[in-house]
Amino acid sequence: MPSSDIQTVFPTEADSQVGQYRLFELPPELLKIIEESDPANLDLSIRGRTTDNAVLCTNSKTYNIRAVSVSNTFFVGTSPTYQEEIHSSAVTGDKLVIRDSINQIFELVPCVPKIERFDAMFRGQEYSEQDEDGSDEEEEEDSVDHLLERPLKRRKVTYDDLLADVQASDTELRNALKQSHILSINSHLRPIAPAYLTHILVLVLNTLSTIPSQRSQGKVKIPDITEPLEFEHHIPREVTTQVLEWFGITTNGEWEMDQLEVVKAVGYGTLMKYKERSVDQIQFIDEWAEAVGDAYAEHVGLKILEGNYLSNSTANGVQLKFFPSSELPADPATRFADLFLTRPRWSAEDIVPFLKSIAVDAKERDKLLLKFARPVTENGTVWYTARTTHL
Amino acid sequence: MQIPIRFPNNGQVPNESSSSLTPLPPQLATLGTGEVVLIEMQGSLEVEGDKSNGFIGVLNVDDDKTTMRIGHHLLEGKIASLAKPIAVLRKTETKASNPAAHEAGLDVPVSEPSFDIVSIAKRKIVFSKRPVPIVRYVDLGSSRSKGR
Repeated sequence: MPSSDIQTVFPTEADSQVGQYRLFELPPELLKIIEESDPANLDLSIRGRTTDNAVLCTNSKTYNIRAVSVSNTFFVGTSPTYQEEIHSSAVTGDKLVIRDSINQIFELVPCVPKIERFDAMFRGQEYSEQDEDGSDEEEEEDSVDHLLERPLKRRKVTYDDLLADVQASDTELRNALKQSHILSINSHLRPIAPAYLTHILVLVLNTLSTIPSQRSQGKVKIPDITEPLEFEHHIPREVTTQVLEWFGITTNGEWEMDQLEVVKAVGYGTLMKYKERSVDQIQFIDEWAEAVGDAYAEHVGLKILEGNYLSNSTANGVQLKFFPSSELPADPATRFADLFLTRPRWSAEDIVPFLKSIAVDAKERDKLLLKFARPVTENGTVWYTARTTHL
Repeated sequence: MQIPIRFPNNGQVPNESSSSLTPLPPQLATLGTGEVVLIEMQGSLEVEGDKSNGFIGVLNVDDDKTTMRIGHHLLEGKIASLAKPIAVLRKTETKASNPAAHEAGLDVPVSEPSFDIVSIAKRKIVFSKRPVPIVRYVDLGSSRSKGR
């Protein structure tokens, strides 16, 4: 069968492509994305700083890239180019040019977006009442600083900076901006000061109660809220508009409030005051209910603030203390160390809310618990204590 | 840093410029989409001297049997499906000036790496056994008939 023989050859040196090829194992959902999307709109990229472990981002998901060395060799072969075909008359017949040999395959493992860098990037940039006049007095820092890959304290952050620095996909990034309550003011991103946000939300709730139509259909015209807030309380329209977008659905200039989210945010803002000293649970609930008003008091409940407080049963009732999981380290080992420093032992029910942001699912969370904590069962309750380490 | 990954020739007809590839031999064209053939082998390929344009061996792909003859060694293998498809990426570098550096008056051209997905391989040719030495290349049947 000489007709099916294929001559394998090395490429001509000038056209050497050695070291240019990479092999990526595709998880099924990623294969689907690549095969089904329009090649021109395929949105895939590798992201991170040069010192980070690289991640691959699709439009909506983030994957850790893990290099796996293999003992076998993979050869990447292609047919010759038209040019090579002309120049290599020595061998005739079908040819396969071995372009590269590879001993490493990259695996892609889904991971949670690494948005913890937000904190460092936005430090000192909080937008609060003092910024209401809208003046933009700060001079832009010399852009050479950007080359140092270290945002200076007062350098303003744009969305492009985030793309370059934060290892998360576009969708995850936009969600994270929304969830972290980051305002875009003149295309600069600035997180809203939590106390200021609570202030705005309480004003929004108050304003809503004065609009009669809200009762009937649940939707209000956006200017009905932004205008009173701007004229009576000097809150810039662009700020209110973005706040409304975070806490509801805006369609055709109308806003439908996500009641639960608003109540939650007000609760968070109220809870924040109790970072140093604890507060009685009943007193806190009362204060929270009062802030949101009678109409929304039904949503008030500690369950929605899970992962943001520590509760302690004392003789005088349950005491709460502000303890947000967003301020805990993102690295599992240090997060567990922090948790066990705060409290030597945790019930399963208490610790789980603080692990939500570092594990993609329950399975991964249990793996982390297994690795970093020791379970002890006592009267049917599972308690976790720190694993003894000799570090 | 953001390194884009593109998928340039998905379903497109390649143009016949000098640097584009000729079509793959038909018996290899069924191994995946795109232009690349993946061959897996134990160990590595040791070559002495200049490799450019060098001849490696003869690959024979058939429905039931796949062999590769390199010098006096014969490898026997098969076409196997990959448990997970493999995207073959090729690095391309485009010269571009860093906008930040440009603004600062430092017009340093920086090469911006990007990757092209040249193929999504779903099958590979795998030679899982060690090479067998070929004692005599001449076909046994014909040599025997000659001896009589």
